Amino acid sequence: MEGKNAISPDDLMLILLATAMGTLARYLTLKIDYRQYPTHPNGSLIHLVIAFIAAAIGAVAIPAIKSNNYTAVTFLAIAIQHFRDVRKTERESLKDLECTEFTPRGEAYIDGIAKTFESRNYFSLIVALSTAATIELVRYLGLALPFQTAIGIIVGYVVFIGIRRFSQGKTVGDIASVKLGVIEVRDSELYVDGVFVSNTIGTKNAQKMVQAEGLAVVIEPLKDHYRVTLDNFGQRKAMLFEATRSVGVKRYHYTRKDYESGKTIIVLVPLLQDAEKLINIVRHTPLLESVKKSHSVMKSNILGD
Amino acid sequence: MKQNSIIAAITLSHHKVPHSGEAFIIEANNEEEQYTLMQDIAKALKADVVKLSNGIFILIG
Repeated sequence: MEGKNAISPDDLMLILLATAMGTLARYLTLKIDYRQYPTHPNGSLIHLVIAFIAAAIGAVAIPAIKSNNYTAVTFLAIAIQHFRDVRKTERESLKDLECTEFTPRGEAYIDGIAKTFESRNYFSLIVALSTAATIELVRYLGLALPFQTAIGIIVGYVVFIGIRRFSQGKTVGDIASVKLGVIEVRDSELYVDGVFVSNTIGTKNAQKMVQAEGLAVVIEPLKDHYRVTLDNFGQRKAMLFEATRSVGVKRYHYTRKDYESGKTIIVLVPLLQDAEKLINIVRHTPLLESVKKSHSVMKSNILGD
Repeated sequence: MKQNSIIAAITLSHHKVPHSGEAFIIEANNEEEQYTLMQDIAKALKADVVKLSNGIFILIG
């Protein structure tokens, strides 16, 4: 297309490359989010398309400013509002699913997941914006197209790694040891490692089932102040949710705090007798952002460990 | 989702329960019948069962 207002091939390349980088950033984080993600094929598609739009907004910002179209920056404000809606939608969707799960996720966990989904869109926007800005800068320095492309991709990737590390949360395994507990049934009372858990197993069937098929996980904080996080009701709900979703629940599930030792105990009768998987999933349960209080845990590391 | 309210209590003749609130009380003739009734109701309502130290079964749902 020839004309005064036609987009130049250079700008088109810049927009396409930056958009692709932004969308790719979201795709790579979708894989990390898979455990938290309830609907795989369609949910992923929705988020990829939203990420594509976010990346496109970030990508066109630089050519728009270059053509003295400063009002184009207001697009970014509209995008932010749109991403907030993504968080709201995700929260509502997860809340609607609460009564269909083995155990509820809880408000705190849902809030954390929804925030994560919102922030992932900013990944796309920032990566696309930084890629586009870099390409423009390299072009201004007079380097050839292959250099512009290569340096744009490298900077986009570095920015992606940086913000991913910044936003990456810690897990229960970072602040606590997770191991199997020994279940003991004394009449209608259930104990794990000698700690009372529940007395709601009054029937002989229940007692037999819990003794024979029950699995117990004991979570012990590595430092005393981590108890503030682990004892939090929302955090315990999140751990129980992940535990029950990974191995299923045949019947009965309990969580219990032991005030003396600071241990948190999870007991359930699972569908799958896979203790290793259960320990692993509890260890990898995210520490909820709304629950974290310790400064050392809050510390995000942009440069990595 | 668990509500943790008492659905029912299965008692024997010597138990005295003056008020039951919203829960209903069944008085069994003997311990065997008490256990059977407790199981019947617990299965139907998918309730958890607590055996009190005085022998009363409480169903929680």
